[in-house]
Amino acid sequence: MSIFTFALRENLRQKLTLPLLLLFPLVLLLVPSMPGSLPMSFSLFGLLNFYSAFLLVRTVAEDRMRGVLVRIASSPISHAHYLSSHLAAGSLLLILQSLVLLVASFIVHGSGTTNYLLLFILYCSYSVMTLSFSLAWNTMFHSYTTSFALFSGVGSILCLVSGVTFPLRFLPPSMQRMVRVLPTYWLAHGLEALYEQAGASLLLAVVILLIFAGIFLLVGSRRRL
Amino acid sequence: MDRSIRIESKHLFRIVLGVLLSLVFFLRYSTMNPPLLLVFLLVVFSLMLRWRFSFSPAWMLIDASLLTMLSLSLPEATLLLSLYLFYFASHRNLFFCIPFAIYLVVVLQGLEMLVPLFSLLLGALVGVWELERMQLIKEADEYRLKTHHLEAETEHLLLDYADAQYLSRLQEREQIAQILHDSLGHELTAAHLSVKALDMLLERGDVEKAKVSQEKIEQRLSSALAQLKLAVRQLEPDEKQVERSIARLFEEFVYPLQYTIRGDVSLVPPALQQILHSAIKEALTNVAKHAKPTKISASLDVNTTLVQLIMENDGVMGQNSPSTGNGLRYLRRRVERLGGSMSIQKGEQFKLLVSIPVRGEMGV
Repeated sequence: MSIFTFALRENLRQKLTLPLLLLFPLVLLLVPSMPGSLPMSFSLFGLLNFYSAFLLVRTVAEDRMRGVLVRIASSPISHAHYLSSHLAAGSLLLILQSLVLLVASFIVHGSGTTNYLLLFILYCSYSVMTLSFSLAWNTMFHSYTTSFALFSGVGSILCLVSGVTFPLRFLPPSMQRMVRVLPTYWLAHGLEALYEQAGASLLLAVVILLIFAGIFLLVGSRRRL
Repeated sequence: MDRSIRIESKHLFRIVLGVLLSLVFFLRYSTMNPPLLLVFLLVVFSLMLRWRFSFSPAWMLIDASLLTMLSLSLPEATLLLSLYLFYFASHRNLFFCIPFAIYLVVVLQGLEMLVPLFSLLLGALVGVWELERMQLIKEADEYRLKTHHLEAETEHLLLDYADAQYLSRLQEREQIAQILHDSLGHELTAAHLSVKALDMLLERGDVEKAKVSQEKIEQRLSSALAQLKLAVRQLEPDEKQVERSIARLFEEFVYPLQYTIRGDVSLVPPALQQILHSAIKEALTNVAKHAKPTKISASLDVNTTLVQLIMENDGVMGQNSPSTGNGLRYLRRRVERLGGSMSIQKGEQFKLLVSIPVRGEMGV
């Protein structure tokens, strides 16, 4: 069994994974839309994706905390191979989650709501970012429980102030400038660009999300035994 | 476990880089539009890539050049070049700094000029610190290597010493075999043959000849016994040799000397005996060189735990000289290496006190 398959199976064995991936995106579609923007489910999906990503890096975090990484380090498997396999498995599941939402939205809202291909690209880059963020976040803690406890607070605040939980236009203008440094902001920015059909602005959001992902990956990929 | 926090040059590098990044961010906060934020994030990514993986600083020239070109269309991003100036300076690549520093001087105006200047200075400071640290590490490595070589040499010497001991034991056994063969062997063989002859004479009933043979056997056995005693005496080591040698040193000294030796010097380990002999010799040489004594006394006390040598003399010349000669200094080192101590009292009288604990077979 390859590490990728193993990581996939380990992730799916967690009780919450399947509801988070298949059920919760459908529940989001029940949230009523607001006028002058894309359906709220599209931005709220950012919050769901954020927590799902955190759940999916649990195996990597616990491997480090339980000392499994030490055993892996003494085996012929490289750390890069181990990490890339786990991240690929996590990304695949998060992309699957995006697809569930998009297909369900396509059925519920119809094809004219937005450009689903561009939305899918935006979600993919956001998923990679959330996964890398979760990885980097977990490297700061020795216990997954502590890490999750703090993340649940920080993650909610991040999504709240960056326009994921409610539209950006409700935030004061000074704050709108301030929250640009937050990675989650760029999903809301991308969704707004998608609604306004501003291609350059959407591309910028995708690129910035990928750069954030790269930065977090550099921090999170450090081998800490 | 040593949990003390040590600040190294790499920590300072990260702290200063963080401060400079924050400074540039706050200076450009008012004009921070999405493209500028993108450039800022790219610079952060570029710096973090170098933190995570070790690339040659020359590769950073590509990043800095791209940023320079980008700053032509996005002037707000120019200040970010200060971070690259800091990077090059801290990696002691001042030559790389020159074109970017000139560009910044031309483009930036007012107080903003101070940012690249400080970046350059702080970078140079971090670079010098790192250089010094590397030199220290190199010196420490060299010292460790020397110690390792010395230890290896000591090990070889010990092995050679063990080999020499083994060879001397073999020689000793050979000597014992030779002595036993030369002295005892002949007499015992003759006695054995005489006993056989005695048996034959007794079987024949020749009592007179048998008595003569018996006397010869007794003579042979007495002679063998005497030779055995002589051989044993020859094989015994001369335990009193060191004590005699020390006594001879005292007696043959150019000035009259009163000495006492208490305890059995032969019981202390050979290494200690040698040091003791050297110490007395050095002390006597010292007296001959630096004094015109009328009275010299020496006492050597040896017991199961301590060996103590006290030597005292008058007629000291050059009393005001505070330093000790090389001989006494080397002697002190040798004594201290054995866990002992050496003290000197200077005045009208010169007094030398050497105490060495006895370890090993006879020590506690």
